[in-house]
Amino acid sequence: MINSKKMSTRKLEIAESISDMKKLLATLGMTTAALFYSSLSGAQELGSIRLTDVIKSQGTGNIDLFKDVSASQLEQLRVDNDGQLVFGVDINEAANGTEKASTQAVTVKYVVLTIGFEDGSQQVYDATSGWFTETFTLVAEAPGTTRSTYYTLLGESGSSRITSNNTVQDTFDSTLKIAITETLFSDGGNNANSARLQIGLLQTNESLGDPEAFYDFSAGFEDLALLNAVDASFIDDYGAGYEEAPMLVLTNPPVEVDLMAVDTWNYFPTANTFYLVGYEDLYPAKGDYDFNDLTVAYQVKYGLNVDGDVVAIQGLAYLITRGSAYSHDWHLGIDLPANTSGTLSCTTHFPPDYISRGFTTTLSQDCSSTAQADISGNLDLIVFEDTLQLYRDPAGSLFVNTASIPGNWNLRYFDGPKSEFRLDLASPTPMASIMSAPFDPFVHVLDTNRLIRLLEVDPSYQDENGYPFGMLLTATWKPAIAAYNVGIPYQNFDPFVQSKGVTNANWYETYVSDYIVDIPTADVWAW
Amino acid sequence: MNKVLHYLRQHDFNVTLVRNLVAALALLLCAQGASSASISGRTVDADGAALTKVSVCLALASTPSTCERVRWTDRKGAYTFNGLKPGIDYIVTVNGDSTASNRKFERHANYAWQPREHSATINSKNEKLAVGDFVGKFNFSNFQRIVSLSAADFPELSSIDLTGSYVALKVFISSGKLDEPPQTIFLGRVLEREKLEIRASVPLSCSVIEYEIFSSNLALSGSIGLLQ
Repeated sequence: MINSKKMSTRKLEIAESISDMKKLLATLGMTTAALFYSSLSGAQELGSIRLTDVIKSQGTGNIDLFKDVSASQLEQLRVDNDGQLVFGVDINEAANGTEKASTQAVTVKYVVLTIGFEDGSQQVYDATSGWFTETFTLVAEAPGTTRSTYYTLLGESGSSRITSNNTVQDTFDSTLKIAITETLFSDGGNNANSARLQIGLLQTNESLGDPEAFYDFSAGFEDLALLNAVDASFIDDYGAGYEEAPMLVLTNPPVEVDLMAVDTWNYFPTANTFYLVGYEDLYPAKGDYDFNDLTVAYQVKYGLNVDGDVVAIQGLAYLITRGSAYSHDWHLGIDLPANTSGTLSCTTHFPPDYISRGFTTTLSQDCSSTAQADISGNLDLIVFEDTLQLYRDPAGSLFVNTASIPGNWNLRYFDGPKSEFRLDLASPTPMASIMSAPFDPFVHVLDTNRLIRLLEVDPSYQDENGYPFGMLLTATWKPAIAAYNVGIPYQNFDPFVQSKGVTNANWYETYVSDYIVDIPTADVWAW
Repeated sequence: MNKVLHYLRQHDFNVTLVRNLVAALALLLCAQGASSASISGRTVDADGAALTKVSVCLALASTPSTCERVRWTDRKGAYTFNGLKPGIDYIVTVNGDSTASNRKFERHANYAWQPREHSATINSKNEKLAVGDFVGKFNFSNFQRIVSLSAADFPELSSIDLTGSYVALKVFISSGKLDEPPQTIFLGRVLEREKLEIRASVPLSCSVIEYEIFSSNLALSGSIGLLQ
């Protein structure tokens, strides 16, 4: 646990004098390094060293540094890092909830480095003597609910860092720094002959949701390396996983506030749930009203700067069912101020088995062949293009996750593609000037060239009896089996409609199992 | 009046100052009363029947998301904004006030409206401007419109020093299940009360938004009711 008073004092001091300190440290570091290297015959720049021991699945590591480094190498790395040993940590967390490939984290409970010397003495470096990481947060240790300040380690997985110069920079995510005052090696000196790092990760109380669920430890092996100054600086500057992390606090914040940087996120509908929207694609004809012609789950979040203005809009969407012979483009529209500009990116990802099934030759592609990199004014993003090609049934049916087999109504659920999109705005934009959630999720039916919108976006999209063609459903929605009117499995639906919502407001909670496709919950389909 | 003046003197009030303030207030009220311009309209269903207790927001066209005034439609589905200044462009929006306090009292929460807003310009101080009907249609969707939250919804913040240590705000709704964590709407640092602005998109069935305010030495919690 971090002494918060000590930390805030320290942060202030650093913030106030960081430029002077940098110059001083650089001068001292260079002088010390020059002196040291001149004393070592044949000394060369030492690369970072990957360690054999790891932080194991129970969240503890007992790392014997001397399995991989010598006292001389330790000293070189200490000097190179201005009197610190810097450990790189490769974060390997399960992608659950807000933790995902692009951002994941663990919380450090304790760090103890014990260095033994040739004369039999030992030096212990722990919380008292000082260690730190570049980030911290407030979390509660399980099973308690009282939050305290802890250092954290953040990371990402599966991304290639195009600016990296070596595998260490490409692999390791965060740094842990321990100040070492003693010289660990010198000719004829009392040199180190053992070094053991004990590290324990905090078991956060995940039942509280975020931030605890995000900063939990989920039984992955976390690899370690001893870093030289160049690699440590790269990893710190890169800040893997920082931007999407909730409640991230920088140990050494920049002196100048960046108004285009994301400070917090506002989630729609929430960080761990989705809007689920179903469509009837025969518009303007009512059709079979099974509401499964296309079912899409999506969530959006605003990245807010320190002033509370929006600087980024980011989203994630999944295809859940496709119960139609028609093909569609699924759009998400968000009205923005007229002078808005920004940079847009959108990528569709396929489940891993799509390649082996021959559905695709690549696991990801641009969301749309006409995707624009830059926008001006309103956002109209094709999130899923040509659903007939994009989302196929492995069993060979025209429909996916909506069909039935006699005597075996409920088929296995097949994962659908997902798309991730992000709009980086060119300037901070007031939240009130952006269209409200759930925004404008609409379908373009390619075969009929018709658009279908939600009633709340455009009330003209309903038939003469008031039935809509697009409807927001619940996250636990079970689609009707193809060709069955939604009122058959959901027998409270018609009374709900006829009473104009006065009765049976929870109509979606009760259904006849024989007439629904028992799709799994979001923790399964949100792969 | 004499009793009031006596009371003020007893309590060391500057009576002259109070008199001047009262006079200024009276002048201001008279000046406002000088304009009798108004904007009025109705909210009806698709058959033309009146829809009552619908919230209607009057905003300046220059700041359309900020309600200057809110009126509730009466038994005839009618509303009127009186005493408007001439030469100003207004926006009249149905359900335009998305504050939690407003939402508590409204009916027809799950209606879709056409149009959603009218633009209106008052040209003279006696103009009586009638805008078109807002027509509401029952909406099947599971989510209603957004709820806007500001520092006023988290009264505990007013007594907390935000300039020192990291003070976090977590806004969430309950998952409704014991074994499932709460669903986070906002989680982050509060730096300035005035700049705190959060949007929440919650299901119709949700009656309360919960929150926690915490730092290394502070843990508070509260809730914001959404139903009357």
